[in-house]
Amino acid sequence: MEKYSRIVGSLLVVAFGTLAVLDSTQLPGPRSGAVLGPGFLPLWVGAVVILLGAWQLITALQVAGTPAGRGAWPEGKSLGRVGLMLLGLAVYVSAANLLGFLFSTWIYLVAAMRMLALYPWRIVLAGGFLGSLVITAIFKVWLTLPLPGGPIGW
Amino acid sequence: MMEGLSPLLNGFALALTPQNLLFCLLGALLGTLVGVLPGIGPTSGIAILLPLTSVLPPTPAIIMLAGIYYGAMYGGSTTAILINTPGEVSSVTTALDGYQLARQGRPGPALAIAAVSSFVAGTLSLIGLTFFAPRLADLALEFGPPEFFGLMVLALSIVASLSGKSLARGVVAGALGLLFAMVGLDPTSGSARLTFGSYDLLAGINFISVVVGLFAIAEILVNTEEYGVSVYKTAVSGLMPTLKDLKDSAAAMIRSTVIGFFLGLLPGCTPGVVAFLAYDAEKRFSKHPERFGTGVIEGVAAPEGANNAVTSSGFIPLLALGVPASPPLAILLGGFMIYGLQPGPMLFQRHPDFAWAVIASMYLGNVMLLILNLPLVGLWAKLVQVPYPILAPLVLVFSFIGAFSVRNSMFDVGAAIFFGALGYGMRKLDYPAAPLVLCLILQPMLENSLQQSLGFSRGDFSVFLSRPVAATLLVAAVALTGMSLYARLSQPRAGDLLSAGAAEQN
Repeated sequence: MEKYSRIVGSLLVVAFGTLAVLDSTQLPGPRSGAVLGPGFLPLWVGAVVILLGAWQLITALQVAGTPAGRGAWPEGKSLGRVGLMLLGLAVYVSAANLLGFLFSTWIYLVAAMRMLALYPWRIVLAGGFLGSLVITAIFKVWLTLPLPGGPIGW
Repeated sequence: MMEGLSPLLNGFALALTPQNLLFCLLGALLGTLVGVLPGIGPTSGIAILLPLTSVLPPTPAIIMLAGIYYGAMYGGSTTAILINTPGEVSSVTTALDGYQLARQGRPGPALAIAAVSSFVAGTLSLIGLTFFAPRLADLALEFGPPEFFGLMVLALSIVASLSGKSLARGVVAGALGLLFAMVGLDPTSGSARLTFGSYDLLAGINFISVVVGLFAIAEILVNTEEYGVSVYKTAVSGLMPTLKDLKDSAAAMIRSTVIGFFLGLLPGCTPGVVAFLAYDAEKRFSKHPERFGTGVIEGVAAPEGANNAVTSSGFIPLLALGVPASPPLAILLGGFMIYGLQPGPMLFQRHPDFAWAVIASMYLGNVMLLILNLPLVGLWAKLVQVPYPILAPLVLVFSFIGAFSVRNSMFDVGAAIFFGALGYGMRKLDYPAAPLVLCLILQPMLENSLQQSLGFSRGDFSVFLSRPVAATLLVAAVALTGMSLYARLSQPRAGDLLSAGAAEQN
C-alpha cells in the first residue's frame, strides 16, 4: 500500500504543477512598465513542481514500501474512522448555514464524542450542549463574530 | 547617562499612574486572550477595541492597544504548544517543538520557557527601542526592494533545513506553498491567477485556513486512527522548567532577540517569517540539530523570543518614522491619528510625555505578562489532561471559528478542511508541512520585491548584485543552502533522524 500511495502522491504533485503551468499560459503578458507578467512565477514554480513530482514518481516506482509506523497509512477501521471524522467535519460546516452555529455545533460535538469514546448519551448530550452554548456565547455574543445564524438566528 | 534616561524616567512616572497601569494590565490581559483564542488575531483584536478606546484620553488608549499587540504574542504560543493549533501566525514555529514537548508530558516547561523567552526578548528589544529608535529607523529606510528580495531569498533557503529526510519532498512542499499563495488577483496586473473560474478564490487563500488545516485538523485526523487513546503519551510532569531547560535555552533567547530586533525594523518582515529564521538559526547553532522537531526546549525559546523582539522593534519605525511594520501596527497608527498624534520624527519633540509613557508602559506590560503567564502555566497545562474524545471535537470547532473569523467566510472554513485532508496526506507521504507554510508567508513579499526591483532597474537582474546589502544577503542564502546540502550529503543518517522529527512534528 505504501508504494502505491507514494505513486498516487507523486501523480497528484505532478497534477498540481500541471494545473499551475496551464493556468499561467492563459495569463496576459507584462503590463506596460512591468518586466514580469502575472504568469511568470506560476509557470516556473509549476515547472519545478512537475519535475520534482516526476522524480518522486520514478523513485516510488523503484523502491519497496516504507516500514509501518506513525507515518504509515492506517487500514480497515482506523482508516474508516479518519474518513468519518473528515466527513463529519464537512457535514457540520455545511449544516451550520442551515441549522445555525449553536445547533450544528451541539449535534457535531455529540456525534464526535460518541464516535471517539462511548460516553453515556446523557453525558454527551449535556456536555455537548454546554460546550456549544459557551462557545456561542464567547464568539457570537461577546466577540460579535457573525457566525451562521440558521432559522432562529443562533 | 542619567540625563539621557530622564525622558524615559518621566515616561515611567506617567505610565505608573493608576489609570495608565490599569489600562496597561487590561491590554496585556486582553492581548493574552486574543493570542489564546483561535478566532481572533492581534490585528482584529486591536481593530475591534479601537473604537471603544476613543472614550479614553490618548495615553491610556494607546498603552492599552499596544498591550493587546505584544500580549497576543505571549498568548499565541499557548494553543500552539498544547494542541498544535497556533493561535497566531507567529506561533507556527513554536508548535514544531512545543507540541512535541507537551506530548512528552512537559507542557509546563514549554509554556514557561515561552513566557520567559518572550519576556527576555521583549525587554531587551525595548532597551534597543529606548536608545536607538531614530538611528535604527533611518537604517531600515535604506532597505529597498532589492534588499528585501535578498532577505526573502535568504528566508527561502531555510526550506533545505526544514525538509526532513527528503530534500525533494521539502522543496515540493515549499513550491506548493508558493503556488497556494499566488491564488487570487495578481497584485500588479489585477489578473486572476490559479482561480480556475472560482469567484471565492479571487480573494486568495486565507493563511489561517492553511495553518489550521495543516496543523490542527491534520493532527486530529492522525490521532483519530487509534481509538480512545490519548495523544499525550505520558503524564504531565514538572510544571516549571528545570535549570537545564533554562541553561539550554538562554543562548537561544539572546540570539533570537538579536535576529528579531533587527529584522523587526524592516516593514513587512512579519513575526511569522522572523520566527522561522530564528528557529533555523538555532538549529544551525545547535550541537544536535537532528533533535529539532522532536521536542527540544531551544525550539520553543527561539521563535518565541524572536516574535516578541519583532513586536517591540516594530515600534521603532512606527514611532520614529510613522511607518507601520506590520498590519496590527498599521491599525495602531490609525489609533494615533484618531487622537491627532502624528508618529514620526516630530512625535518625540511635540508629544514627549506621550511617546515615552507608551515606551515605559511596554516595559511594565512585559513584566505584567510574565507575572500573569507563569502562574497560569499550571492552568493551561491541565488542558492536556482533558480526555481526548472531548478535546478533539472542541479543537475542530475552534478550527472552524479560527478559519471563519478572518474574513467571516464559510469558504475559508471549507478551505481549512481541504488543507486538513492535504496535511493528513502529506504526513502519510512524508512531505513536511513547515516549508509549505514558510513559502506561503514569503511569496507575496518575494514577488513584490522582485517586480519592484526589476521595474526600478528596467529589467536588469544585476541590480541584485550591484547593491552591497542585497548581494550579501543573496550570497548568504547560497552559502546557507550549500551548508545544508553539504550536511545532508556528508551525514546521511542525520537526514533520517530529521525525518523522524519531521514526521512527529507534522
